[in-house]
Amino acid sequence: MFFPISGVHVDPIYLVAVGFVVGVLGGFFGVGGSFIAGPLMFIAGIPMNFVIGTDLAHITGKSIVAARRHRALGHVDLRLALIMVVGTTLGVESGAQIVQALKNNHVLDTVIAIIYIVILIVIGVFVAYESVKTLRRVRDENLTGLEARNAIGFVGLAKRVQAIRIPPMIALPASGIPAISLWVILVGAYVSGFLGGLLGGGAGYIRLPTLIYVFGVPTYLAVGTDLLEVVFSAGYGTLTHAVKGNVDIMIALVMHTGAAVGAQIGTMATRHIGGPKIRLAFSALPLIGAILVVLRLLGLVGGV
Amino acid sequence: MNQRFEFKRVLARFALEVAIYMVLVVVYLALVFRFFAAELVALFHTELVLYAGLALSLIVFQGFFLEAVTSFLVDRLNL
Repeated sequence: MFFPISGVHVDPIYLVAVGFVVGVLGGFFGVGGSFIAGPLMFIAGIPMNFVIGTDLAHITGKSIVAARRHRALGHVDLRLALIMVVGTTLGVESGAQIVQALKNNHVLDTVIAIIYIVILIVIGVFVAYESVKTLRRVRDENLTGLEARNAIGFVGLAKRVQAIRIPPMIALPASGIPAISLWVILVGAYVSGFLGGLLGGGAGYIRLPTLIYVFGVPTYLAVGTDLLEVVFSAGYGTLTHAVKGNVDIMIALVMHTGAAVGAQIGTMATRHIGGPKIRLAFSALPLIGAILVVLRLLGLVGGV
Repeated sequence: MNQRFEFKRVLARFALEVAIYMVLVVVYLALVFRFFAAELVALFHTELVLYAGLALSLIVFQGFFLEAVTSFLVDRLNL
């Protein structure tokens, strides 16, 4: 099927399937899944600027409903989310400006692909390391049931971050954080927004670990707060990238149809499976994404 | 034995949901592409700001619309 906005031929069934996979991941892990959607769009032959902008548009549609559900369940730290929106928006705009500069210099595809590869490998290795660390903790401390399922590997980092006393200090009662520097939150939000604007998607792969391990937000609140953040960052990212001519909304609409049903399946799956073993399995996905980008750069795959 | 039967039941309902959903989605996309495609392409080439606003509105609307459809199907089929 020809998509006249981006000027590419892509099989719509492929796009629906990509959306479905991303939807399942989003429902299951609470992340947008852009780390796998981006490479899958890229190997389909979609130009990198459209991969970034279109991925942001499709993530917006997917996250808005999920965030509303989490908000209704009380799984959102609204104060933290609103503070983070400031840093995230600035970060998204910075990332989008860099994309525009790279596009104007005709080096966008190669530079972003290389950044993608580095980020995906780092995520994959980090998640694998954290999962193994958590599994050891579960074994050593004889954790069972819900405790084992919700265990995390890094418990000391958040305390050290909360000990940083750069004023103004603020309290986040909903997350059980008595005091944390405002600047720490803004910097964390800026970095995730920057990666979202630069690579597309909601950047939940960096924001979620930041909320849990760096800020010390409980996991169930982190997922909801992250989703609300994604609505703002991906929504703003969609607008700013669309104005710069980087969004093919027709591709986003097709992809999103698969994501809507995938999200339901992913959410249902979390009732039956979860915990560090699943995170360990998940760590392979970003690495697969990295391999796909390498193959596309080498010209070994491309065009669906 | 019961678990196997339950799994088969869920799988059958899921297949049914996907089949119904695919029909609805094909009809929906055909309508969107039939009535919006030409206007969206024209806007993209002439009025990027308006295109950006419309693009965001469309994806947000579709988010709510398809969520309502999938929730309805999941509830109806008791998945």
